[in-house]
Amino acid sequence: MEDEKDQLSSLPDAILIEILSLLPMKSAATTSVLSHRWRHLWTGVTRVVIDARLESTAIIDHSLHKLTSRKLHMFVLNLNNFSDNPNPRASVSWFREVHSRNVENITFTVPRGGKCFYFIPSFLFNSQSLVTLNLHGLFRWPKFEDLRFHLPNLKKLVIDYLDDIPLWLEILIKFSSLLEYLDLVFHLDSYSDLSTSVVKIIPPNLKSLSISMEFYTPSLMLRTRVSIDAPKLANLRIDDCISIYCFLQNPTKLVKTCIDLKNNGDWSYCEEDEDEDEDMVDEENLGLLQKEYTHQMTKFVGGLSSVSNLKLKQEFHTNIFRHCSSANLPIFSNLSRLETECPMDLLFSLHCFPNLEHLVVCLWPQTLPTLDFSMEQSDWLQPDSIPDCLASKLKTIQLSGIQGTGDSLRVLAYILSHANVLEKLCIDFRRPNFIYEHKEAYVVWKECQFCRSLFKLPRRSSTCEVVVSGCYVTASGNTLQDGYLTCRMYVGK
Amino acid sequence: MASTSTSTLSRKLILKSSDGEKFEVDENVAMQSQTIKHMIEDLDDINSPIPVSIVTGTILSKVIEYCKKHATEDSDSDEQLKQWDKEYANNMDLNTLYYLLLAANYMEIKGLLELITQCVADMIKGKSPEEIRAHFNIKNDFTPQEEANIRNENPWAFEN
Repeated sequence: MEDEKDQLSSLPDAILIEILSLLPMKSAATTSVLSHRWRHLWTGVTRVVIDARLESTAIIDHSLHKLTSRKLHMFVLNLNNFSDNPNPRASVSWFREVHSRNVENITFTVPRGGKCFYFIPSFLFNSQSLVTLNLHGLFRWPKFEDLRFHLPNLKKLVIDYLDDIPLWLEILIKFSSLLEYLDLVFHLDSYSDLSTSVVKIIPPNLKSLSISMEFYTPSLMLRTRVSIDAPKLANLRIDDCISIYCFLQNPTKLVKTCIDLKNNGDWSYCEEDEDEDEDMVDEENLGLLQKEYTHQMTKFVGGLSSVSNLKLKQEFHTNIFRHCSSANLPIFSNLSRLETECPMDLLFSLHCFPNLEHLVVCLWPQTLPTLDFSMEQSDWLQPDSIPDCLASKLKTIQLSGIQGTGDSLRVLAYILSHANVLEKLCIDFRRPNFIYEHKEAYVVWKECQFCRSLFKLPRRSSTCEVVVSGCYVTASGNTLQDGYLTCRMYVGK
Repeated sequence: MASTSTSTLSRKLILKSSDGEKFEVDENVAMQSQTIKHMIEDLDDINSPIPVSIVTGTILSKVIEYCKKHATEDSDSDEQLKQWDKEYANNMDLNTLYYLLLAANYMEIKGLLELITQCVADMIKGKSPEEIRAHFNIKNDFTPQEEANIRNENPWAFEN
């Protein structure tokens, strides 16, 4: 019978090694005992994946030492759940082994809260073959003086994370001329040496950049400055509520950008100093610095004007729309999708985005501590002229966090009566944390009333569908009768 | 040369298996094989059958089934395509898998080669040497002493 033959063993070495390369190291090594044919095949693997279930560092040393392939495509080492007594120097010999096998892609993960800071040897920064370097966890880096950078083929660099902003970082990025993808995560505390608090990122071929900076005890006096000069940048992601960013040269090929200027840490902006006298000085100073920040960041956001998809999250302290009118922003002529989260003067800003097709705005992201419909959120003024995008481009608008006030209704009336091509308008009420039982009926009544007023509003676009969702009431409708929308309402939890 | 490189979608190619079976396929289906791609670049007359010398008709029809699915991938989502791949591989017996591996390797169809190597790797993963031998009918040609020595060499590979 055909099936009785051992056809697997008769396959060429190259295919068998390809199969073994897809296995975890331990599984691959198991095959050494199958038969003579399989005795040394596993040492030729081109991918080495070692995960935490191995029991001691000796195993890693041992298996890496046996490798014979001339080109190691991938080295993945995950030391999460590692039970052995760690030796921070051990990583040097592991990297030496894979470095000598011309490794192309390295992913090294150590436990987040781990006590062992593995050494990253300096020779790793001198590699002709290295294409991807992913480092997750906190590491001990070589001394700046010992570093020589030669990474002619490095395309992707991920460092997650660094607890200071090292001097070599800028030079590393500068000398990686083919770098296309850069992802940096910083967790900075008050001990971090921020003397080098200017970071320049200028790789000519960079297409994707992501920077996340978290501060444990931030100083608003000494903000890190990050300068970016990457003309080919297509994707940008920044998650940082402190540092000041600027473009040396505005990118012209941006596609997708996400800027998160919200404070996601658990510190607050007011805990600067305890001394009262100093407080006065500081406050004055802080005011100036805040102004400077807003000015610089408005300029930075303006530098994004080639982007087509923009997500911008801000809060009170970092809200660049709060201090300036839209006059300070250039025209974003490619922007077709905008997602933002701030109490901004929405309709005024729309003038900057003439080709906007999809708008998602959360007007008030936090939930209400108590239920209060009477609180007016802004004194809304009608724009002087109808924004271009509203008149001819906007297809979908999604507004969340709105309050059922007369003001909201006036904004919505303006939108519905001027949006020519609007296909869908979604409205989501700002939700209270908790509703007392005796208030339920009141909420239902308020929401119904709001819906009734909303659906009575005349609309410019005859095919527009309106969807409302509140705590108890959801309603939607898109048919027009006698110039008005009719809708269905569902009341219930 | 110039005429073959400016291909149109509707052009047909004829592939001939090692046992003489002929298959008419769209050019974009066949071009997923790097080997065939290079062959027709050097070919003046694309109307004559292209020999796929080491692949039998039975296997070639399976290879073409894969290439057809992946030539029209716009119609399916990545998720659907992955699901299709999985079912495609699961429906093969071991014997067919070996020949598909050889065919994908020879014809240089990267996706198919990855799919089948992964499929075989999954069969090996997590099994003891005895279980692997049984699954693939691999004959143990070591003496007990030799086998013990190898196990001692890499004891970490044989711990549970």
